[in-house]
Amino acid sequence: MTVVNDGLSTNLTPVEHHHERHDDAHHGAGAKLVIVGYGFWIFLLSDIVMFSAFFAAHAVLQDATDGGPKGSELLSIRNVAYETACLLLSSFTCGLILVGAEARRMAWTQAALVATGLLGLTFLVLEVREFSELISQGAGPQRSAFLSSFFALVGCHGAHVSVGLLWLGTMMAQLFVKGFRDDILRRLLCFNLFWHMLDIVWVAVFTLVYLVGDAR
Amino acid sequence: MSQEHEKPVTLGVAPGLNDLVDQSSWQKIQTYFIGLVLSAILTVAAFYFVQSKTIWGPSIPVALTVLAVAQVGVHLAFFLHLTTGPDNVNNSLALAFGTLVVALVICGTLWIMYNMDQNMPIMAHMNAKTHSLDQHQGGTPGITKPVAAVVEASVAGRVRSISCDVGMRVTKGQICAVIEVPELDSEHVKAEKLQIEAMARIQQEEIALS
Repeated sequence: MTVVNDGLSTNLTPVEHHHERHDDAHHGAGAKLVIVGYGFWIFLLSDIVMFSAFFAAHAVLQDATDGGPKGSELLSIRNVAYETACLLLSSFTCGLILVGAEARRMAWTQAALVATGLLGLTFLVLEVREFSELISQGAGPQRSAFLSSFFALVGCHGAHVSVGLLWLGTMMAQLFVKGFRDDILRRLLCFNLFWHMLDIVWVAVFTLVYLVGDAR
Repeated sequence: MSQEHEKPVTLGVAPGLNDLVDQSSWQKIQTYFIGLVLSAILTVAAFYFVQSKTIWGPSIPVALTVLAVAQVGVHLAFFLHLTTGPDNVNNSLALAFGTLVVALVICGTLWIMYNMDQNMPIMAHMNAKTHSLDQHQGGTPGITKPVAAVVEASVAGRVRSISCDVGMRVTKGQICAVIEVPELDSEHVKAEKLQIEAMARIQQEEIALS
């Protein structure tokens, strides 16, 4: 290892190692990338804390069906399997966005963004379809406390995915117009963290809400 | 390497970034691909355990939780590139704190709500207890301490207000409802009318006097 690794230098950071002093590096774009990324990481963790409250509510209320339908009678395992596949694949393509950005390849990065967006959109369509089917069966959020907590938790995740898709579209436009600027790269990193976090939350959702709910 | 010791602040590596500088794009993709394959295996296993009857029913939630925790670990390691290395201390400490808060929120909620559930009999239980109590109290009046009580109206009338609800805690002697008696009500109205008439008469007298 001949590369001086000051802990900041990755291909996302501007080339400023070797000849620069470490003090300078901490005030440069590399340090900003670490600080912005870390701040966003803290935000995501607080977002997960918020999700944990929804999970706790759902865990408490999952038997409060008020004589209405139970989770195992309502939820389609096949549908949630498709949703999970979409989100997992999109997590992979989201990683490719970052690799493409580090290699400064515009076409590659944009293609990965498109793939991530399409998979996210498919996930959202499947979820909206599931919700509308439930509501048309009379199993809407007002039917029972269980269904309220179900729609709140899964809907909250879906709202995050929707916001993520808006962000993704914005990033495609910004990247196209402004190119691989430092601030664009920082935003791509934050988007990457956000999208991976959504998949981690989804792992908990499909396990605890759908699969454990089905096994009960 | 003396430079390493002169570093005044260690910012570490940004979360989500690989700290191996000299990795080729292909190697980075490989890392993501390994994560994808491992996650897919864990996901398929979770769905398989629910659909098939290969494992004992009551243990399925435990197995699913283990698989989910493993998958979250895979995501953190291969997608978010979180390591236990010194340049990742900030990121993993923040994650540890986040996990602590999540555990407190979830475990605390379940604990408190379970406890309340145990101490708060629901309507069906209460009705059952009241019936058995009625029979029991009939045999030994004044000896048993009531475990449930039926509140009945002491007078006939109209309910003006209710200050209790199903599931609410009440103390002994607390007022649960107020009942209005229509007869008393009409007497009150009559008395008021008489009073108004008397006042009017007094006024007339006063005018006549002056």
